[in-house]
Amino acid sequence: MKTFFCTFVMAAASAAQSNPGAVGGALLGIVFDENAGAIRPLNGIPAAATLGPRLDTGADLEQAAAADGGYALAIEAATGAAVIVSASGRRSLTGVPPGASAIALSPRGSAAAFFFKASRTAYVVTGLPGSAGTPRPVIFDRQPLSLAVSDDGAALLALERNGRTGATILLYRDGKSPAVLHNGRAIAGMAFLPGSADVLIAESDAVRLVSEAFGPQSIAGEGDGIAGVVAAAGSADGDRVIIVMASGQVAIRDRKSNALATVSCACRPTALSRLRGAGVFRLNELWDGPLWLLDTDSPEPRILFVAGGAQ
Amino acid sequence: MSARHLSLWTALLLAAPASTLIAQTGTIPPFTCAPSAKAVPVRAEGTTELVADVVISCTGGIPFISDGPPITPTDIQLTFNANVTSRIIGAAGASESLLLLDEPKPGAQFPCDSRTGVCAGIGNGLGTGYYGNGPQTLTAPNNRNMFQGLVNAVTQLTKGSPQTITWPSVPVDPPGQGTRTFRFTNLRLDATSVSSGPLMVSTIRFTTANAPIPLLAANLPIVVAVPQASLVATVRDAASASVASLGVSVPVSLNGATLTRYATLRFAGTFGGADKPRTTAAFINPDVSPAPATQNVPGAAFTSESGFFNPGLGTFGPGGNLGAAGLADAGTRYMAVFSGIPAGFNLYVDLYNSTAASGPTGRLVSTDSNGAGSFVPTIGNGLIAVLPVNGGTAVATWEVLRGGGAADQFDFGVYLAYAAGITTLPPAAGVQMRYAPFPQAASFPLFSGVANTQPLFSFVQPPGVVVAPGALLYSGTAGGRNPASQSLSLVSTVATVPVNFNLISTGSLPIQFQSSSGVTPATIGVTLNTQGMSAGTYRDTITAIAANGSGRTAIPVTLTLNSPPQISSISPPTILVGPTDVTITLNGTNFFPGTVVQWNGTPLSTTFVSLAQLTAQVPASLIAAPNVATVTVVTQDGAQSNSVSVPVGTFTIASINPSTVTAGSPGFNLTITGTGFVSGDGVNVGGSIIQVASVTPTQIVVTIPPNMIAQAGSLPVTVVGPTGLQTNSVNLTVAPLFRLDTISPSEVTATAVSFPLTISGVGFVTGASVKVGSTTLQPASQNGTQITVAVPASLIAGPGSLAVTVTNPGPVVSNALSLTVNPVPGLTGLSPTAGTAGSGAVTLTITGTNLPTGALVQWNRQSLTTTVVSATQITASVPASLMATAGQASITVVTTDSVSSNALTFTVNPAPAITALGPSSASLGGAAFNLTVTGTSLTSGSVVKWNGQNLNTTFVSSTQLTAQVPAGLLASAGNATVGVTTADGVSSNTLRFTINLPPLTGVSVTAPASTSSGQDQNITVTLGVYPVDLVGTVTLTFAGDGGLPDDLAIQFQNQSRVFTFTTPAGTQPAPPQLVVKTGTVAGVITLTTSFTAGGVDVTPPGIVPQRIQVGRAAPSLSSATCTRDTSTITMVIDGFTNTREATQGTFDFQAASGATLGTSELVATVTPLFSAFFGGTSGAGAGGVFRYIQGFTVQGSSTSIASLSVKLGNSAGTSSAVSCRLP
Repeated sequence: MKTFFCTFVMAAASAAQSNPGAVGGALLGIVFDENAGAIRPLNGIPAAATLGPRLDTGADLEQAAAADGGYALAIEAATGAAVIVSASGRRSLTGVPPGASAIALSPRGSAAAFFFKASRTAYVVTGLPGSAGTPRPVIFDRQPLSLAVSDDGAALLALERNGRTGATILLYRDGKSPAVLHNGRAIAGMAFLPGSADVLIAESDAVRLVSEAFGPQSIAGEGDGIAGVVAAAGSADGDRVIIVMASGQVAIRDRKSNALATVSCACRPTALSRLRGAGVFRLNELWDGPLWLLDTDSPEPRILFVAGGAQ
Repeated sequence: MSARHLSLWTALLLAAPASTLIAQTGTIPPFTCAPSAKAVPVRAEGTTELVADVVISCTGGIPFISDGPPITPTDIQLTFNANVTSRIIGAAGASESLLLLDEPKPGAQFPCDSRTGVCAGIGNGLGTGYYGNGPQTLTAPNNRNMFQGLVNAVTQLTKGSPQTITWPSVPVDPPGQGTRTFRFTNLRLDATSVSSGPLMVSTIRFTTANAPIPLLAANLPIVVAVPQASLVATVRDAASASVASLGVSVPVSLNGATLTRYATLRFAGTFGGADKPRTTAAFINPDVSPAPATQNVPGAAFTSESGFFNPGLGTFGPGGNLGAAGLADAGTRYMAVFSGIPAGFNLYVDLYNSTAASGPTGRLVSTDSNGAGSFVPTIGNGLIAVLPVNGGTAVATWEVLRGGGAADQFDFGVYLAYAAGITTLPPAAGVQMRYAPFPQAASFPLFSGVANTQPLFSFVQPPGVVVAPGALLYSGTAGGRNPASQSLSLVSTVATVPVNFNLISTGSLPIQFQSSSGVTPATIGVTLNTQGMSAGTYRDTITAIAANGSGRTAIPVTLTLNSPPQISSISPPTILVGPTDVTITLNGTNFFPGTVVQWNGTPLSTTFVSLAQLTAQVPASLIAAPNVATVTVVTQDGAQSNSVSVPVGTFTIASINPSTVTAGSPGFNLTITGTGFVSGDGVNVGGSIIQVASVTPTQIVVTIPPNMIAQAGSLPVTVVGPTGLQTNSVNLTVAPLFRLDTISPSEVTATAVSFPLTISGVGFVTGASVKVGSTTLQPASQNGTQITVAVPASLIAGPGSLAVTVTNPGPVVSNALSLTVNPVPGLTGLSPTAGTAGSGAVTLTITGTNLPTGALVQWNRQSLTTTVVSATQITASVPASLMATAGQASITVVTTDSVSSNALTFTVNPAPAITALGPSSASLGGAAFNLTVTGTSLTSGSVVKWNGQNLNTTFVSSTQLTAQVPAGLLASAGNATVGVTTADGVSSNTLRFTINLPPLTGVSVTAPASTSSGQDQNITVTLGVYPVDLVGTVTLTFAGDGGLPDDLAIQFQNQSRVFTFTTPAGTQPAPPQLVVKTGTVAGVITLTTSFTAGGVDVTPPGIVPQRIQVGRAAPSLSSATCTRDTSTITMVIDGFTNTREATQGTFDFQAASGATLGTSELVATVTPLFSAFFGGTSGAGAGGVFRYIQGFTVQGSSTSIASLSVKLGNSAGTSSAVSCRLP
């Protein structure tokens, strides 16, 4: 990266200060290449993103969860060790036992939960990526189907099977007994809003927000054309809720104006993974053909494909 | 503390000793207070019982004035004789127990945190109170009049003992002439912490910073609640008609049981209000958690588990959520803990009590082990829920949703269901009924104590069925009548309880019940139908099944069925006609006593000797004349034996067969026919007694050995009876040996040529002659076994058969042999009659008459390999060498004796050749058509071949064929090979047929003439119908504007610069979606399109390359983020500039609230920065994308800046601004 020094004078300050400026390549995010067992960068910006070559982290990775900050939490295939990887390399996460079966990353990537199936225990790590704290174990009453963790790491969501077809979302918080947030039959996903303990619950044909302050609220439902929901997430500022459907339709609810915008693509969304920006997401995985991106930061929401790059 | 202030408190402190002085002066009324409470009944089992409010009314004292010092903070402490259990809702022990100062109305209730000083208000000199820190007007009262009591908690011991509540720093402003009321509400006490007696306030203290102030000790203690045992829990019968103190009996059926209510659990309160709903809300919908109803009226009588609470108060700093103060988490919860539930039993309970909806209502809310489960919206089928049973234990918890006000009772049904197959009575089950013991974390209400387990179910056996006798035995004879019927008696094990039963037989015996079901007591007849059964011992089982599932009883059934009598022999076997009675003896089996011998159906006087022997007397009247009698034996139950015939007659030989044999013949059977023959008879042949092979009353067969007939002669034959009686004698004649065996040849073809005939045999003697037909011939040569004669041609001139015999002198004539004279063969047909030169070997089929075995087919007198199929058909193989050249051949058939047939002609034709096709070409995908093939030597049956595939062909002439070409052969462009093949497989030369592609129309690829960078640009593709599969290829190229480099991100959505699509033949295809990413570098994108079909380029001339101009434009910024530390701010900007250069950045700063900035905009020259990046290695492949990081140093605090925005300029213009907010 080239550096440049410029001088600014703040009127409120009496002395001039010189600061280095720099221009380099833009990194939109990273993505886990399951076939290669490696992390690959998404270079560029949403409108001109290219897939970069695999990052040599020194070991094959078994699974990984990518944060929009340009790093990922991963499990080494050979040792089962939990590591944090980025373009600059790989380092171990102290205190997390080897062999985690799943990783849940908070919306802003500041906290994560490593889940161990055999002990029904999740180890919650906060202060990511630079100041990881001592993992805090949380033991679940039953085997969860999936997890979500809040940005402060204080709250965990567990989706548990309830009978043959039902499912329950439980909130584990502050070491108390879990609270039932929701019972349903077709729960597609759950997520915390960034920087908040408010919870988004996505069902097949409806998305709800369970707010700490105001309780449950409907974000969108069948009457809004919601069907076959794959996932839902909030924008970084929490003002927009993005709902992705299997048909390729994406609905964006503006929580301030209550306006509902839709955009569609000839793709098959399977994910909703954050990239750099307030409302930029990856819609699918590498194994499912070209990557598709959702850009809700542009004047009109749009779906773009990722150009191929080096392998 | 000011003098004014000090004087007041001096007055208070000295109130008691100086009261007289104050009263006398009349200047300072005493500040006096009186506590009171309206005691309420509470549950002795409850640990968080809401007791009565404590109200302290004060008068006197001197109010604080508005311009004076702040009102003095005072700690107020209540001490009880019981442990305080008011819930802690905030920090430092801040509880839900509230002090309401001066009875504020709901709209005027404001929380006060005196610890932060907000309540250290000032007075108004009137004693009407003012405790807030904001402006106070008559129209906007702003009193802070609600204070939280601090309680002692296990982990939060801040004030006092476990039995005290302290309200710290209350601004107590004496009311002067008025009244100041202190209401203490939401007081919860542990009723179990007091062994007996009421719950009381024992002391009340007002304490300033200087010293405690005992207040009105004389009136204390005051009673706030009276604990009473509140719950009576009983097990009742299913209908809840009566108490079942010993539990309920549950009959256990082997058949299992469906859902059945067996018992009722009754939870009854002993006083009104012992059962309480969560709130006083009238809301009763059980499937939705009832919304709390505001209970914010000071002094109201609360009949629910909730006390005073005002949700409008909300969260209040370290005090916690005051809006939830006094609010119970649930209503009274009743719990039933079931134990000893047997494995295999499903346990159910009512979701609601019996008076739900119309009266007191309880609702099942939890089935977990401590009853603290959250409110469960739906359980079970809507009325009844199944309980999870773990190790025989199950738990049900019901919550009171609505109380009746009086001493209520709640009845909940208990049900069981189980599957068939429970064979062992389970031990008794019990139930423990109590209040649900909420854990501390679940808040209110909480209870302690464990009730005793009461009997619930005792499992009993239902009455059974007893059957007598224990076994049934039947006997009889196969083929006889059915055995007699027998009876079963069935009674109940409990005589007073009839039991329905069913009878079934599970084996193979045909058991018939008088009735297969009934009710005890009963007698059921059982019969067996043995008709058609064979002898043997049979066993079966009758099963009596109690319909109530108590069990089943097996009654073994045994049937012994004897074999019918069998006669093996009768002695004597025959009876001679005579005038006296004859005794016969019958030997056999199964002659049981009582069996009778019958003579032609007439019973005889029978004597039982043994099971194997009977004797019977045949009266003379039954044997007076010859006849054959039928003798049988019949049992007592009508079974009949086999029948045996007994002849009654005389003893003579009528004839023998054969009567003559040839000497030297092999042994043979001699059949003697006559009457009166019996077993034991012997045959005398020529003086030797011969063993009899078989005998019937009228026939004897004996085997004559060869040695007995070795010599010619005569042998007398007689039959000798067992008693020595002999029949008449008949002679067997043995004749001398003379025989013809063969003649050679035995067949000849009719012709005019004589031939020698050889006769073989035995017994030829000198002087013998031969006779052929009617002609006698003399031997040409002779010995004892062979004679040769010359047969003249005249005897075989025509077809026929001639008898050949030899006559020895005597004359003795031999047996005759036949000489066959066959006719001459004649040919009538030949197939095929022609072939093609070069076709290879051919098999000829020749039809005709008189085609003899051994005949040969000849081709121009050359013998062929021949197969005689029949006298009318013969086949022959013509080798390929004879078919090599065109010409004709003479075909004949020659017999083994060289007689030739008439001749037929076979033609060998020349090979075909073709010279022209009409037409010689067609369009790809065209319609079917007729193809004319011209040539020479074309024959009928020839086929036109298209790339080796046969076409439907019509023969026109030897120079022309026509063939039908289907449309399917025109699906591929290119050349086809056409030839002709004859019926016998000879192929001509081939000619080429050409298939041409049609022009491609109706296709287009359209792109906009211009667009901007950073887009996914749709390209319009239009397609039409084409008769063959069409492959389209769009190729992208990019040329940077003014020497700008390529941007590798400019691609199609398939991540390539080549996009290929295929449209199937003959259909209107959906146009492919084609998107091109325009990248981030200015230039021209060129799209070149081509189409191929079957590998042939069919791109129409109108398809021209599409050029998309991406013009130079101002930078585009996609995101910006900001971070800061104490004195620096860093901004990270992502975006692109499609000119790959930038000139300057303009930064605008927005001040934080309350801060001001001298300069809000800064401009930076960035040309070298961007030139270095795009001109360097790292920026070479970046297109126009960049990340620009700019830092700032702020003199002063960086927190004075709230956000900043940036615009970036390049040679084409300036971008829109993007901004970021500093965290």
